[in-house]
Amino acid sequence: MKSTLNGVVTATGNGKTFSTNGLDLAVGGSSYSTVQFRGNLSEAILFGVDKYTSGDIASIRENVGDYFTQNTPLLDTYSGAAAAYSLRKLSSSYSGSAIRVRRSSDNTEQDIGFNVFGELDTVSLLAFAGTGDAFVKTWYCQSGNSNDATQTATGSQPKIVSSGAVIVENGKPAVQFDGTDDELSVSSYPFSQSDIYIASIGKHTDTTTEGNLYSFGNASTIYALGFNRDAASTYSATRFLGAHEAQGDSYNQTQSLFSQLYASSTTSAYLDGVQGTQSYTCRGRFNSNSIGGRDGLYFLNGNIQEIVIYDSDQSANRTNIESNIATFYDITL
Amino acid sequence: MNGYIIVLPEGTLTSEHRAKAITRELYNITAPLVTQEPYQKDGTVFGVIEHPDGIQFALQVDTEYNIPVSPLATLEKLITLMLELSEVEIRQLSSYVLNAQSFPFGAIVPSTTTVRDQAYMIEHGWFPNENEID
Repeated sequence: MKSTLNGVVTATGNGKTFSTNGLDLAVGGSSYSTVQFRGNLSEAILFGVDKYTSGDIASIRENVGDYFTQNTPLLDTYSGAAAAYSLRKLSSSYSGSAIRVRRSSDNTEQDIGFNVFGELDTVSLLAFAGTGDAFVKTWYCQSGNSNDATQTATGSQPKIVSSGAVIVENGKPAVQFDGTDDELSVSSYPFSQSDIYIASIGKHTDTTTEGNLYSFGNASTIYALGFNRDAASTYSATRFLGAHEAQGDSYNQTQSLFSQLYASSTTSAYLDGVQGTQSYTCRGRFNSNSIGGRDGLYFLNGNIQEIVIYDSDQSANRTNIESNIATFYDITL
Repeated sequence: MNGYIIVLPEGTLTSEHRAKAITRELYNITAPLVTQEPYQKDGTVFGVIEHPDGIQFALQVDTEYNIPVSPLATLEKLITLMLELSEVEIRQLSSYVLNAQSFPFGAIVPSTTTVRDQAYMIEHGWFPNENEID
């Protein structure tokens, strides 16, 4: 018998055989002594065959590990977000819906929440949308700061259901922006200090046309992430305070994890966990806060699944936050 | 096609009031007033942008945007707002409402109306760049 901890064998010994010793299987204690377990147990799986020698243990461990990564809400572990938009539940303490949608057939609206797994309740979504289309009117902020992102004009609302089918990317629901006028507006600038971190999952499918994944600006400072501003097939994250402090690199129009960090007076941009090497810039606008565009121009042609915004330096947590997001959205870092 | 329709003032209606009334009436084609929930009372189809002069307003339109038609939809108010429509176009618009389940917005744009592109709008000062970083 072998015992492992986080995939590493820590002990070996002789096991007990239930069929011959007549002992009952016990969980949370021992069936043949008075020793009892004190702590929390989330899952126990008993296989009747050897899964170590067969090699299955690796995939079983990955499956279990992914489940608990995905089902421990991100903000439970990495708290303090200033705004958070997602199609999965990001915080155990958040009791609201994920999105408010409008169906095309009669402009009726409905809030859509999460299922028991903390993912978008697509059953309710499809029951509401029927065979038509459904669009996102409001992407609710899960941070507790009520920075909801909204679009009241129906013609500019991004799509979530197309002809009775949920729009997906890598098997997970995605909000689709059409690249012509779709955009969500955030009512207030989400930052109160200069150190920030923004992680997002999305894509821009145009190789040359400019587009913004987001742009957040007050009267003096702008944080934005956009595409194709200085060269074709590129992304850029910028902080503008009198001048650009920007970083970016080439980009291949696929679903990716973008992140932007400003800490220690330095801007850093990452694509799937890899830091950019170019000083590419992107558009932004003062006194305007938008998702999927830059306040009336430079619209995203692609989709977004999640944007998490911190009003603080997350250098120490960046890799873990991005690992959590990448695991859930099936992005390879 | 994405573009902009600059809405001219007409009679007692300013450019702003007329633009906002048109986009509101387009919304009402899909969800007529008699069927609306309270949250639908401010619904619109297209966004309205304001020129920095504070006088001119424009609709940010998508001519391919599909507008579903409610069986209870009425057109009288929309027609009074879209004075550029010819008699033929009014009949065509009425036909859509009577016979179609939906129609693209571009099908009811009056023939005398020009849909402007982004370059035109920037050139004519609709999007001043003093607030934009370059």
